[in-house]
Amino acid sequence: MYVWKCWRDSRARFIFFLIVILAVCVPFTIYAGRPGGPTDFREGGPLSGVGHLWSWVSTVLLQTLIPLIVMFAALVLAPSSVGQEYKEQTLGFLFTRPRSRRYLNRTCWSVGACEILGLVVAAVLGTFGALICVSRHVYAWRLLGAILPLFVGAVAVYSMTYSLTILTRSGEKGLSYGLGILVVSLFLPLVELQLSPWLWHLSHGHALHLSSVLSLMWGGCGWVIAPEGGFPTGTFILYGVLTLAFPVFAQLILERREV
Amino acid sequence: MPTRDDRLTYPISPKKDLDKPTVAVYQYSMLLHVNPASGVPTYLQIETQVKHYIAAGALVPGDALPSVRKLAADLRISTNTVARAYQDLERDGVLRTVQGGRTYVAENPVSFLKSERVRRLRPYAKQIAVEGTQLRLDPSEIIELVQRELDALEEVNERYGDLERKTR
Amino acid sequence: MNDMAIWSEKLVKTYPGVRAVDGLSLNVPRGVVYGFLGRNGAGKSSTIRILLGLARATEGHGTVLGFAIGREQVAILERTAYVSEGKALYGGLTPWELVRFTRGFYPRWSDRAVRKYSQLLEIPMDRPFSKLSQGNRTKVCLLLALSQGADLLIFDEPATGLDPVVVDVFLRILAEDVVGEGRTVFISSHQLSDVEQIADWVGLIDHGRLLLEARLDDIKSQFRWVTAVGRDLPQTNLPEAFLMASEGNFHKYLVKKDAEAFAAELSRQGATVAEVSPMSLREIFLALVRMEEPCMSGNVGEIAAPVSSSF
Repeated sequence: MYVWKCWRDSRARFIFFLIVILAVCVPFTIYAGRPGGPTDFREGGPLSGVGHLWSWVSTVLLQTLIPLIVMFAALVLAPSSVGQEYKEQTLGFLFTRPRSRRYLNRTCWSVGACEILGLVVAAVLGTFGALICVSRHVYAWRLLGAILPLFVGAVAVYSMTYSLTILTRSGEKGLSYGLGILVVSLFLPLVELQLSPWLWHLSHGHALHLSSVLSLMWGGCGWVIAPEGGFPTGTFILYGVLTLAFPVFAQLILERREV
Repeated sequence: MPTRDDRLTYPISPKKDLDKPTVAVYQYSMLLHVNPASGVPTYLQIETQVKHYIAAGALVPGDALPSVRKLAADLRISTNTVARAYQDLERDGVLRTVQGGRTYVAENPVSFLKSERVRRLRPYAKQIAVEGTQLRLDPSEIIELVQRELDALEEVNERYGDLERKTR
Repeated sequence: MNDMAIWSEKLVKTYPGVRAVDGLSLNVPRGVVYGFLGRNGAGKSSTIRILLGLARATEGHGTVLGFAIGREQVAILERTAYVSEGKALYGGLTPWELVRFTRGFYPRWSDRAVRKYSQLLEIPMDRPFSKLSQGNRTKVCLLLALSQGADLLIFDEPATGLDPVVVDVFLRILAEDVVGEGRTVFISSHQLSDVEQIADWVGLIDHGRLLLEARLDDIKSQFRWVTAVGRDLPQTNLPEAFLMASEGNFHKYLVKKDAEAFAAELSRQGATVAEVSPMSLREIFLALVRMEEPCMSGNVGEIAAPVSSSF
């Protein structure tokens, strides 16, 4: 029943973002690919050749718009259930139900993670479906590979904000700090630039990049479109680990905390 | 899992399923009354009242007393208190509990040897003696007091007896 | 100890700068109504939070229904119902939805009990919890606790916002359906009259320590006020008698046991014992708690500060 309750708490926000994502992906793609549109791939149109629609869709949607929307959704969805518990002070009720705090923590996190997955899948499938309608070419199947980097990037943001909510005992604070950290992390490439001599030294010549979540998604989706670019494996692993580490960290706090 | 025979159906219709509570829930005990705020323990109050009713003839041998749960519910007190009172009264031979669990006034409420009965009364006599002396009453005044109480009981007994005869 | 409903040994809980619970050794037998009394800040809520696993004891250990606190907490929570002081539940859910949410946790949940008690307590079941009055919120919390099929029910101020009629119904339910079935009730409350009515046992806590833990009947039969008039203060060696107040020749003693013997002793020493009177639970509570205050001392032979209100 706790799953139901977590879902209810985040339902409204989830549906909002679902609508936004589908509203962005599907009409956008179809509109762009219409006869006479900027990416009309038919003979005689401004861009002849199927590849141009493909790259346009991937650049604008996959690498920019969708990651931004999904990251923002992750930020907003994370504090929805836990933040509500803290606001209403119902943890005294919840923790006196016969379930371990570990179970409750995992369930709450999982519901949100599934919602993020749902949003990412909806975005990709929506774009995919629209592309098929418009161009019907085989390249579109590779689009589905974008689910992975998008999901890992988004759920990393989600996990971080979730843990911050638990740490700060407040949905608002969790969201604010999460947003702050996210914005700061976008400047990581600048930091990396400044610190590159040191980093080179530390990593003994291996390429070590401080990449933000955005660049993970950007690079991951880029790989889907053009595999020659290489997959940002290091960043992927880093954020994958963080995704799992944050809830464990939150669980440790939760288990020791007094209500 | 909740038992199948009493599952709620959702959504519940308030009009259909929620009636006004029945009168029974406001019911009090017809027989006994306890005052929890007095200094006398509740179980003692119950015992004293039952004995008083028997002595006055309001309860006769064979009369059924309310079950422990019912009496506790009607008095809004713990079943342990009522159970203790019933147990004490049963030990004293005043009440009798049958296999089924119901409690009745014992047939011969007092079935002990006279010496035993005297032994039981002695602490109360001692208490009267001590209290009376402390209050600086003469022995004769104390005895007169006791006599008056005995007379009053007999009067009530007679009146109940008349009532019994009239209603039989 | 394992057949006790709640048992603890020298439980200690310290917060920075204060010992909220200070060597508490509770003994709550099964099947009784236990009234847990104390002033605000005496450690009642801290104790309850430790029992339920919401807080962790600094020292000491205990069991609830035979299960170790902390280690076997989930087993405890399966069999224990709890109504918190704050009565906080999910505001967006109606009582029906709260019932739906809660019943999934408990195999021994009774829907029949939900139907019965929602009627008896007159709960508006279709209004969101956040829109209910304080009294209705309390009723919903009571409903959830009573329908759970728990072996132990812990109530922290169960009468918040309830009118006397509802309190009466609640006491009846406790007497008939809860204690009547051998379950244990642990009530922490300031409503001494309600506790006095329904409780079998009483535990009085002050500054984190148990001042008194005994059957209410025994306390009632043994605690007495003894008022004596005498010129010189009579000296006695009885450890259970305390001089509470003096004014001129009048002396008022609190006697915890053997009041008759004490009165006789006073008489023998020439004082006139004016009165040996029983005490209500409220008087016992006030007297014991006041005795703990610094200006009051314990034994006969030392004059304590006059407590004019107890005259």
